[in-house]
Amino acid sequence: MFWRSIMYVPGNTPSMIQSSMIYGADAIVLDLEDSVEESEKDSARNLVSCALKMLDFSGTDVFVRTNSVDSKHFQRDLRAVAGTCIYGIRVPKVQKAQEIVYIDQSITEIENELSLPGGIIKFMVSIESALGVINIKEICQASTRLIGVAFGAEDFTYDMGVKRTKEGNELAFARSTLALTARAYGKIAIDCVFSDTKDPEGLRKDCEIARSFGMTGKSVIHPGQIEVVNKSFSPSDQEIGQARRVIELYKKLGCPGVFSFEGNMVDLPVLKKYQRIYELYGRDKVE
Amino acid sequence: MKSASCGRTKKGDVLITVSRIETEEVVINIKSTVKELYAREIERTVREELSRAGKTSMEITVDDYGALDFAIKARLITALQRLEETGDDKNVLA
Repeated sequence: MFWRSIMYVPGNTPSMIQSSMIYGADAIVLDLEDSVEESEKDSARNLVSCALKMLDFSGTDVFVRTNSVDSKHFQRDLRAVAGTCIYGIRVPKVQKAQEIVYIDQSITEIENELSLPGGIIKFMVSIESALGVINIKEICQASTRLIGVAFGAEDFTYDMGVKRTKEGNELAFARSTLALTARAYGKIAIDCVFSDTKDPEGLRKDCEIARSFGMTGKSVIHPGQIEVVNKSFSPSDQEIGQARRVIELYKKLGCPGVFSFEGNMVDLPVLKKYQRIYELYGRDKVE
Repeated sequence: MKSASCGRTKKGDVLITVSRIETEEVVINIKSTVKELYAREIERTVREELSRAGKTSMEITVDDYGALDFAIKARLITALQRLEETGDDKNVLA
């Protein structure tokens, strides 16, 4: 479970759905919420359901963004996609732990009805309000089925009554809080979208900020953003090479508690950082 | 005669209109940018879905813009559901 880029795909546009798996996003989110007008919720739901059953999404993990739990669509959305090839659902505008419990119970009911293995359908939630940010600790603790939290900056800044800027200072506390809390409870933290699809440098800077807060990946709204995001949330070739050399030296020295690498001390916490990079990116090149 | 439709007249999509008819038959009208190549497949997809849903006495108009099977099927399902919601689906075996 490692997603650097998670691309939103409008759920009522067949041409976008059928090509969504070819752009290199680590995961995609077929959207039944904001990109679908109210009068077309039924058609999007059926379109996404048929796509999941009839198209080949192998090579990318698929989520479906349902409508929020307080909408009349949530249960129908969930039922339309349960038992298909989805990795999980992504539920927007979550504000309280009670909603997490409700989502978990709803999924459990459907898994039982369809005789699916218990716990096979995972879920992420989007935090998009001040209340959601304040309640993030309780939200993260409310279900083991919850695998991560995503940040929704547009709704958040609307809720806060502030303007969203490219610099993103207005988002700093929320981003940091979400990433910190998610990490504390073993969840992934997915950063908000960067809305300007024609500013790759701005996107790259935004990724750096998100990564510095501890976000593990980022939502994207256009295929052209995937490469920048994947690169930004991956270590550089230099970092990968360094990790490989550290691990090789560690093994050569008989796995000592502390050792020196190119003049720098490597103890357990430092070693763990290199091991994480090595496990994710460097292993194939060493063995 | 009431009808219901779903879909869009955009590339990769299909607009499907369904109506109940008095005679017990399925009438399928296909207009497609790829009719020569795919009319038979489109008709098969439509008939399969109607059969699965147990629908007879229907006229189906397919205005296709190169939609794949999943889109044709989904648009048809939705159009049938919308027809049912209009209450004009009472004579249809469902």
